[in-house]
This record gives sequence, C-alpha cells and structure tokens, in this order.
Amino acid sequence: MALIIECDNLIKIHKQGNLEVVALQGLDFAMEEGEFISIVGKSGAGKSSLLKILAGLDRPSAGRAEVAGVRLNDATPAELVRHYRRSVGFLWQDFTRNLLPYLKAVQNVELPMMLAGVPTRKRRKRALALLEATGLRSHAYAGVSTMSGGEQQRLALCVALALGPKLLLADEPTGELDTENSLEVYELLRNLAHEGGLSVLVVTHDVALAQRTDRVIRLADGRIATQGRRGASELLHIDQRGMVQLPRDMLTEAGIGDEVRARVVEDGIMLKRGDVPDEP
Amino acid sequence: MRLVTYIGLVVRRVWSKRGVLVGSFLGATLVTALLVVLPLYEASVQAVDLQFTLTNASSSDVDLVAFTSTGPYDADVAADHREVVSAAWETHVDPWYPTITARIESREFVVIPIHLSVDWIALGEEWKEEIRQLRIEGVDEEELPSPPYPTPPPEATQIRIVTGPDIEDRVVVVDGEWPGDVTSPPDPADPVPIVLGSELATTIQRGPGDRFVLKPFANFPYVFEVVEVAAVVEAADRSDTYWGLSNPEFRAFLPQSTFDAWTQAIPGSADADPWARPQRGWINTPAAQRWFIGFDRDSLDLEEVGTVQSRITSFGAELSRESGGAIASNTTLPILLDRFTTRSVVIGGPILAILALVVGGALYFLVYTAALTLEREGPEIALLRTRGASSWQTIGIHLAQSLVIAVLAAVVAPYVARLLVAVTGRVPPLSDLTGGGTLEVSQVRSIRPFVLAGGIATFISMGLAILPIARRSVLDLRSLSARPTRSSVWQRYNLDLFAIALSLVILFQLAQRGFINFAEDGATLDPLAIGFPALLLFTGALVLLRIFPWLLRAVGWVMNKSRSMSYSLPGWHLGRNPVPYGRLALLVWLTTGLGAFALTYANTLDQSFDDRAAFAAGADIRIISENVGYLEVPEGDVAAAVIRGAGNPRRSTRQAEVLAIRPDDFAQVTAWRSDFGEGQPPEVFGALRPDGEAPDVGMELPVDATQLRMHGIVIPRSLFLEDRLGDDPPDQNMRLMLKVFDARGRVWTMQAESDLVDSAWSEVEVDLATGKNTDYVSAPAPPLSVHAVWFERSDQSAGNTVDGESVLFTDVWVATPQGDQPLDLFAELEPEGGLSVQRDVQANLARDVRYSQLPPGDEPPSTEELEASPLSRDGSATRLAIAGSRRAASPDVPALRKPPEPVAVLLDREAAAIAGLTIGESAAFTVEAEIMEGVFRGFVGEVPTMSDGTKEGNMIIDFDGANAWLNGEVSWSFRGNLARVIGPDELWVATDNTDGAVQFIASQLGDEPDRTISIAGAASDFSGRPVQVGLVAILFVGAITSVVLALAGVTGYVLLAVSRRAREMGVLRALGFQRRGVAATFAVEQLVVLGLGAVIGVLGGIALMRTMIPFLQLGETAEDIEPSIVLSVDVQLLGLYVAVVTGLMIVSVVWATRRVSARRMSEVLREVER
Repeated sequence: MALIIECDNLIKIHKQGNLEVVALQGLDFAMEEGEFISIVGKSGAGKSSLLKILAGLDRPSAGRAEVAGVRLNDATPAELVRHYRRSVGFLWQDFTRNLLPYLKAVQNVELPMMLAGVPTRKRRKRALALLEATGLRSHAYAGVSTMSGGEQQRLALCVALALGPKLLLADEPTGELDTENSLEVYELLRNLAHEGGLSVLVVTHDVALAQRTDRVIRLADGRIATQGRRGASELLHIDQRGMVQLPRDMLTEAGIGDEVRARVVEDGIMLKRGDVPDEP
Repeated sequence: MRLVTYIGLVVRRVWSKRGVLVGSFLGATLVTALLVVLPLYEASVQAVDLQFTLTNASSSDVDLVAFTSTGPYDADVAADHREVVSAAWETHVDPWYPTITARIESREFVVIPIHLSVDWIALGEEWKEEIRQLRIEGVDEEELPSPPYPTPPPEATQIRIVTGPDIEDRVVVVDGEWPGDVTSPPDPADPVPIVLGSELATTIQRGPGDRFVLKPFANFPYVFEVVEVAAVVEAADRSDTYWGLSNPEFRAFLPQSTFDAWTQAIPGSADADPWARPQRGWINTPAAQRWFIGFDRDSLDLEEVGTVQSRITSFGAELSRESGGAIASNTTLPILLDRFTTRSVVIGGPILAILALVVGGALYFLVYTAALTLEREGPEIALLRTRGASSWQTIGIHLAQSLVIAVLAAVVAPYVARLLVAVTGRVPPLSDLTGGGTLEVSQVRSIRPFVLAGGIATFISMGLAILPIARRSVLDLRSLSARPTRSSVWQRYNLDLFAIALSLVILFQLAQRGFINFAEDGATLDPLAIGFPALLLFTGALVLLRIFPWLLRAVGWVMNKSRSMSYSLPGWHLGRNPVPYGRLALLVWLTTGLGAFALTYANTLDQSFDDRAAFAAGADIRIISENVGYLEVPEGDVAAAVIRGAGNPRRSTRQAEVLAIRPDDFAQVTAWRSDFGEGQPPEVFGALRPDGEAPDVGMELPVDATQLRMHGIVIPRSLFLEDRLGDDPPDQNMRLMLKVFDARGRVWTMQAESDLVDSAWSEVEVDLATGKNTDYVSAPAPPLSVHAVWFERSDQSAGNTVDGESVLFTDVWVATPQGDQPLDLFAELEPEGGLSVQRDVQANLARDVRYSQLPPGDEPPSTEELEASPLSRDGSATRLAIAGSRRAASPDVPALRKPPEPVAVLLDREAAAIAGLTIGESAAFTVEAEIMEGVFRGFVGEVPTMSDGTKEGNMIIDFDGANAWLNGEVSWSFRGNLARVIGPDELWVATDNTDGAVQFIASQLGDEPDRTISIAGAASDFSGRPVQVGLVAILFVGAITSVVLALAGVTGYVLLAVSRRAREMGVLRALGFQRRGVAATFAVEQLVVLGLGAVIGVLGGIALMRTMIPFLQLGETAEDIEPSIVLSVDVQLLGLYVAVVTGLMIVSVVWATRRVSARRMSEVLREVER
C-alpha cells in the first residue's frame, strides 16, 4: 500500500528563551494508507510536536516530513491551505475548539466545504450524510451548546471529515470524554479506517484505548522507543550552544546517573559513568 | 466560496458576536458622528451665530442706503435716479433687501415771518401801488424802486423740507389736515400749503392757517414763496431708519408732486403777486435723494454670506456706473459679515482641533477594541485556518465584519450628530440664541462626504487590526487569547521618538508663524494648528506607552512589600510583565484626558470671558460723563474718580496710556486678577502713596470754614499822577481771587464779593460755598485747600491789566462758626508770575503814596488831614506788588501759589523701558500736554481698561498730585473763560446694585451718563461667547461618550485579561483563596493600572489645555485678547468628574472580575492552555 506519512530523521527544536529543547530528534516514521495508528508516550515525548508537524501547523527544524505527497518542510501558505482542504482533517481534545459556537451542527459541518467552495446543495447533502453516519442526524439543526460532550466530539469528527481528507489527525480526541463515549469514538474511527479507507493517526495517553488501534507507536525522548540499545548507536543533535540531550533510556541502560565523564578519543567523545575512574 | 454564502457567514458571525461588537459599533458611530458634527457646526451653529450677529446689529449697520445730491433739484433727474436705484436693487440685492423707501430732503430754507416785525405782503402791496403811481407820473422804469422782497431776520430759523412717495404714511397729523397735491395754484396768489413738524411749529409759533415766507438759503432775492401751514405732524415712528440722523419733528413736509412742481419755475401772474414776479417756485434749490433699503435679517443664509457681500459691491458699482457717479451707496453689512467670518475661523479653530482630538481618541478606541476582539477570536481564526480558510478568506471575514459595522455606524451617525447639535440648542448659553429650543439643523447634504470619511476611517481602523493577526501561524493564533501581544510597533521601531521630534518641529513652526494666517481674503486657520494638538496627544500617548511599564514596575515593587497577598500578588504581576497594561492605561488616559481637557477648556474659556468683561468694565460699573468722577455714590458703594488720558513717559515722543487714580479708592473698586501685578491692588497701587498721605495741593482750611476775609487796600496813584490822567482816570480797584481744591479734587475759582479799593482800607470776603465754576453739580466739599491767591480787575472797562499795581493787607482770616481764625498765606504759598512780597511795610504806605506827589499848586495836607484820611492805618502790613515791566501779553498771572509736588508715577515694563527709569528716579513726564515733574514709584502690570493698542505702555499717576499740575495753574478769570479743567470723566464703582447706583448718579447729573459700562453689560457684548460655550458643550458630550466607550473597553479588557489567567485563578482557588479574595487580587491589579492612567490622563488633559491657550488668545476679531487668557481649573468639577469616572471604572472592573471569578472551580481549572 502507498505511504500516507513519511518522516525521515525528523528533528524539532523549540526555543524557550535562551534554551533549546529538542522535542523530536531524528524520528523515522511511516504510515500506510488506511492504517489506524495510535501514538503513545509520556509528556514531553514529542507526540504533540509530531502531530503539529504532520498537520502542517508547525515546521520541522530538520529532516523530512511528507504527508499525502505534500512536503511540509517548505510548503507555501497556498500549499498548506490545499493540505488542509484535501489531505488532512483535525480533531482536537478540546471539542469547543473544533466547533464554531454560533453555527448550528450542520453549518459547522458545512463550514470547511463552504470555505473550499463546494456548492450549497452538495455540501448540505454531504453534511447530513456525515451526521447520519455518526448518529447525529437528529441534531443537525441544533446549536452546538445544546449537545453533550460525546455528541460535540462526534460532530467535530464530522467537521474534520467534511472535505473527505485522506488522513485524520486526532490529538487526545477522547481526553474529555467518559469511557463509554471514548469507546464509541474509537469504534467510529476504526470503522472509518477499515471501511472508509481513511488513515487515522491518534495521539493519546491512554494505553488501553491505544490497544484498539492497528498499531501502537511509543515515543520517548523525541524518537520511537526501542527495546534495548546496547551495541546500537544513536545519532544525537548538538544545539547551537554545543549541548547534547541524551535519551533517558540510554542513560538508564548505561547506568549513568547525574554525572558523566567525557573523554576525547580519536574519532569523537567517549562518555563513561562518573564513578568509573578515568583510564590513564 | 460564493458571495452570498460568504455574506451569510459574516452576518451570522456578526450577529453571534453582537455583544462584543456593540462597543466597536458605538465607537464607529461616535467617530462618524463627530466628523459629521463639523459640517453641522458650520451649518447650524454658525447659522445661529449669524442670526445672532444680524439681530444684534442696528438697522444702520445692516441697512443699505443709496444717496445722491441733486443741486439744483430737478424732478426729471430725480425720477431717472429713482429708476436707476430701483433697477439695481431688483437686479442685485432684492432677495435680502425686500423693502426700499425713497426720501428727498432739501437744503436749508429760512423762515421769514409775516406780520411779526415786518408785514412783507403789505410792503409788497404798497410798493406795487407806489410804482403804479410813479408809472402814472411817468417816472422812468429804471428809476422805479426795487421790490421789497422779503429778507430773513437776524438768526432766522432754518429748516429743511422732506418729501417722498409715502411721506404721508410716515407722519401722524396732530393738527390741521394733510394737504392735497398742489402742482400749480388755482389762484396765482395762493400760498403753497405746507406741513410742519410739531417742534418746528412750536419754534416758529405757526399753526394751521398761518402763513410765512419760505426762502431757499443763499439764493436769488426773488426766489421765495409764501406758504400756509396746512397741518402739524409728528413722526409715526421716531426710530424709523427712514429719518436717519434728522429730527422729523423739526422738518417741513410737502407731498412729492407738490415738491417736484414747486422746485421748478411755475408761470405766475405779476399782477396777482405782491412783488409783481412773473414766475414762482423755489428754483435752483439743492436737495438730496436718499433710498433706504431695508435688510431682512431672516433672509440671509450662511452659504449666501459671500454672495450678499459681492452683490452689495455690484449694487454700488451699478449705481455709480448708471448714474455717472452721481449715486453712491453705503452699508456696513459687508464689514459686519467680514468680522463674522473672521470670528468663525478664529472660534472654529480650537473647536476643530478639539474635535480632531476626540475623533483621534475614538479611533484609538476602535483600533483597541478591534485588537481586543481579534485576540479573543484567535482560536476561532485558527480553527478556520485549519478548516481550509485561506489568509484572504480570514482577512475578508474580518473586513466584511468591519464593513458591516462601519456601514451601520454611517447610517446611524448622522442622526446622532444631528441630535447632538440640536440638543445643544437647549444648553445655556446657546439657549439664549435659540430661545431655549433645539438648534435648527440644516445643510444635511453637505455632511455626506463627512459620513463617507467617517465610514472609511472607522472601517480602516477596525480592519487594520486583522493584518498583523492574519500573518500569524495557527499555533500563535490558538495561544493569542492566552498570551498578551508584544510591545507596540511604535517602540520596536522607535516611531514614538520620531513623533516627539515631529511634534517639537511643528510646535516651533507654529510659534514662529502663529496659528492664524491672515491673507487678503480674510483669516484662515493654519492646518498645522488643527493637527498639532492631536499630534501632541498622540505623541504623549506614545511616550506614556514607553514610560508606563517603568512606572508600573515601580508601583509593583512598592506593592510587593505588602504582607497582604491581595496587594503583593498584583504587585508581582505588575512588575513582572507591565508592557501589556499600557494599552489599557492609554485608553483610560485618552478618555479621562479628553474629559479633563473639555472641562478645563470650558472653564478657562468661561473665566476668560468673565475676565474680559471685568477688564473692559474695570469695576462693577464704570460711568463715563463729564466730571462724573466728582459725583457721589449710594451709601455702601465705593467709588473711584479716574482721569484717563495720554502721556509721555519722561517726555519721550512715544505716547502711553494714562490713568490718574487715588490708590486707596481705586484698589477697592478695580476688577483684579492675581497675575495683573506683583501683589494685590492695595500693594500695587499703594506705591503711589508710600506714606498713605495724599499730595499736598494747598493750604488746608478748617472743615467748617465758611468765608475767607482780607483787610487791605489797593495802593492808589499819587494825586499828581491822577491829575495828569484827567477827569476820568482808570479805576484801580481789584478783586481778590482764590483757586481752591475741594475734598473731591474739584478745582474752584472763587472771588471776593467786592473789590479792594484804592480809596480806603476795606474788608473783602470770599464765600467759600460758591465759585465761578457753574458746571459742578454741588457746592464745594470741605475741607478746602487754597492752592492760589491773586488779584484781577472785576471791572474791565478801565482796562484789565494789573501790572504795576500793589495791594497792602494787614490780616487774612477764615470765618468758622467758632469764630475767625487767622491765616498765614505765606506758610505754603509762594509768589510767581511777577508778584513780589514785602512784609512789614508801613500800613500808611497807601496814604504816603497818595500824597507823595501833588498836582502843581496844591498844598500838602495837614497832619490832621492825613490822620483823618481813610488811607491811614497804623502798624505794619504786607505788600503784594505786581511787576510793572511784565510783557503786556503775558498770560502768566501774578499769584501766590502752592508749587505742585512731583507726581507719583507707576509704569508698566514697556513704559519704563521707553522712559529708561529705575524705581525712585525723578523725571519730567507729559500728561495731557502738561509737563510735570514726577517720581517713578513702581511697576504695574496689566490694569483693567488699559487696552489702547495705539499707545505704548501704561502710566498710572496719583490723581491729586496730577490734579495740581493739570488744573492748578492760575488764569485770568475775568479776562477770559475759566481755565480748562481736566476732570475725572470716569467714575469706577463697586456696588451690589448696578441699576440703583446708575440711577443715583444720573439723578445728580440731571441726565443719562454718556456711557455706562458694567461687567454684565460688557459680558453681553461678546457675541461669540454662547457659540463657543455651546460648542464646548458638544465637546463635553463627546468626552462623556468617550468615557462610556472607555468603560466598555475597560470591561472587555478586564474580562479578557482575567480569562487569560484562568489557570492562575484556579490555582489560587485550589490553594485556599476565597472567591472574593481572588476577585480582589485581580481587581486591585487592574485598578492600579486604571488609577494611574486616570491620574496621568487628568494631568495630560490639563497640559493639553495649556497648549491650546495660544488658540484662545486670539479673540473673536483675531486680535489678542486682553487680559491674556490664563488656565483655569475648576477643581471641584474636575474632582467630581474624576470621581464619577473612577467610580464607574471600579464598578466595571469589579463586575468583570467577579464574573470570571464566580465560575465553578472545576471549570476554572480546566481552562489550561495546551
């Protein structure tokens, strides 16, 4: 199957004052069309950074990110608009940020189509179909504020799917929902992926829910976590001030605590635990 | 996206945000309305002002008069003139001058009575009979006597005849009957029926049926007519401009056709005429034609001001052209309208500048609220972007929203503006002009460009805010509502420093070239002047933005020292990131600044009008009439006599304005302002009399002195000399004369009731209760001071010189009820003008001189005879001898006189600079052409009423000191008129009852004073005042509206600011803070910012007013106002305003913080930025 997402050695560095924080460091990741993937990881693992880059909301510091054939590293504003209209749909955790409160449910679904210039009759038909598919047909002309959290998130899903994107990016889509509603949303996403051919990438903290996806990817320290690193080498980024951020699991595995002894060798710098005496 | 769909989205969006956008709508409406107020101001307030100006003008100011002299009068030429005037009137000025009346007035005729001293008709008849007899006797025609044509008696009454087409309607017959037209007499001997004015009839003592001869002044002897009085009339309306300056009651009248006929030669019958004249008529009589063209004050619209001026010019030009220069026209309306236009420009300038400020402030509000709205909309814009909206679609939605608001505002604004302008008609003092009704709003069409400009300005102001927002990334937009914007673009690029530099350059330019440009076509306001205050405010705002964070850091540091978390926590916030507070502070600063400015402006303007009125009047009332300063005022009132004149400091050729005052009185009555001099009036003017004593002008007599007596004799000629002079030698008797100053400063010339004679010792007496002066309305007021003593001839038949004469006197007394008191004339008086004094001469000197030389043949008298002579007197006497060698024409009067003391003088800086004097220095000054010695006692600043622009500098001199110089010189009272008296023609009165005081003074004068100026009356002269104050009312309404808008902005800002910190709020709540405590923490923070903004705003508003004073300094006629305008702050009113604004802000802040802090804790805690 064709790849919908391709990330190659993706690096993202955030600047916070004078500090540079490496959110993604050399991430390699690919996703096939029609896959339903979840990304899990601790806070600060780089999940949201990855999602923002894939959504085109943020640009990578280095490496390559390509979604549905659009190279996001250097996409122009016009290409990004096309990206939003044709390639991706978004579903945010805060469902109030997915919807315009002053529009009715059906109007919210129609909005992306309206912006893309879809004729009135066609967009109304599709909007109603989407609401039908998500069980919200009866709420089509209701105000957003009158709908429950689950209904609003399903409505947000309809909005995200309004223009028929190839990829749905969801950031903690069930973060504010109870278990029942969460399961309902995940079931809906699974159906969309398996029956509709939609690629779905979900970022979540909830490992149990993640298990309901086709593939679970665990992020740690800005890269895909691996089981055991001994013998394997890592390519690490040196920031402008010459600082290197070492992955926590690598430090743990190497038994390195708060101190490290660095030594320049012929082809680089060798790090050893601080308590190991230096060789003469 | 289809347009309809797009518009639908915009409308839904606007509707859903109507609560938030109402502030923007109000702001946009205000901006547009204020712009629209400008043309409405032009159209409405100026129209009222114009109406007011025209209504206040007298008819002689606005009416048009055309005139020509026709000499000799010719009815045909007069008819041609009428045609020319009528045609020019209809062509040029008819719309504004609907009425035209014509009047013809002859030159003087003399009245020759019949049957009074000479019966001219009987004489004529006798002459006719005589020549008839002589002809019968065959006397040659050339030897016949001339006819006895009537000749005027000495001091004959001169009259003029008035006629016109409607003359009959303009008079009321009080006796007799108005005559019909008599173009030729039915009987050749019939007299011309004439009508007399009532006063004329009384003067010449003629009534209906009486006849007299009327003869043109200086004409042929046979040109006269016998007239018969048909009626006696009075003017129907004495004040009718038709009469001009002439008194209709002292005119004669004829119907127009009678006048036309009788000013031509009328064939007569020599037989019927007593003087055998073959023709009759007042031929060659000059007359003046005059047309009164009445102005309709309601007919002139504002936009026609220029037209009517040019039409009046055209009217005059056509009259001159068509009549060959014979007819001229005159009116002062164009000058009046010129003044009005100038005033409009001068008054309009600051108002336009202020409106520019208000509009600028309101535009800032728009930008501010638009930016606030957009910050709140950040996540929504982000959502639209992620849903596929392009940048242009995002911008377009906001622009469309701005357009909707701008269009709605543009629709509503004209009505708001019209309401604003109309309502001010009810605001005093504008209501004085409108009669309490609303102001009529006209010129609606001319507001369209302003509506358009307002719409565009508001659209751009609101729309521009989207541009920097639209450039932001989706992530930035999503966090926009949670993170304040960065520092302003002005500071980032130092544009504020540039604005400061620009302001300074413009200020320098304006200082160099002034605010008003005067060109040939009138005064115009410098465009820079309008923009400058707005630029200054803008610059001040930018400076505030730069320094405000530092101020907040300092306040925050102080608050951080508090133990209470409610103070230390806000203090920490203020100090940590103070930049974002600048925008809020700026809004408050602008708002309170405008309000403070409007209040201070109104107060300063009002105070200035009061100051100007007080300066023009000088005191509660200033009465001007000849010698009015000597009159009394009602009990309880205080008055000061003032002599006004011109003088030269130190005999410079440059003339200064002079007031002679008595410092004590003047200090009590003068209208004073603290900046007029260095101290209060008693200190400033008291310098004239450092010891408090009035200058000594003569020998002071006891208060109850009634007479002054002298025992003396004129030293006679010797008998020899008398014999040589013949039978009737000239009389040697002389009259004792006194020059006396009374307590009010009046100078009196008094004389003894009889002469000192040369035949015997006698006692002469001067009644101190009367003087030769007859123009004083009351008797001399004691105590009197004898300034001079001299002798004159009362009987001038024997020659009036006194040269070579001598008087001996033994005693001088003053009589009082307690008895006589001796008076030493020489204690203070000194001889001058050729008078010499010899003391202790033998009293018998008169007798000795008499008998010193005897005529040839006479025997010397015996001792007994000598002792029995009435010339004998034992003891010693004092001899006053008048030099005999004086030049015959010398005007100097030999007299004993008190030499005037140097007069105390105060000078202003200009006069002092001209004189080059330092305090204490003596010099000669000239006052009213009299050179006097003076001492420069001190400086004076501005003095009320001293505003003569043709003079250089002011001089204040001591009244009594100057009086001795001006009026003390002795003159020959019997030889000529009394010496001129320069009296106090002004009386300055401090009173609570102006009408009562004027009546009291008028009753002493026996007539109305020439002029009475009261502060209230002077105030009413400022026709621009109601207009200006009315406009300030509009301004204040604008400022109040700004406050309302600002409160909306404050509320919005606080809501947003508090929402941004929902997480912090949640944390505080979780830490155990009470809901009220959290609200207080946030409220204190906002209130500190608002309080600082309000304080700076008030100070800034007052400072801005200070920069506007040069505008106001130009009065209605674009001339400098006196006294100069000073900043006037009504602390109470300003305090009330600040209190109200602050109170409203506190309510807004507390409401907004409580609204947010009242949310459920779980809800608050969920508001965490992701």
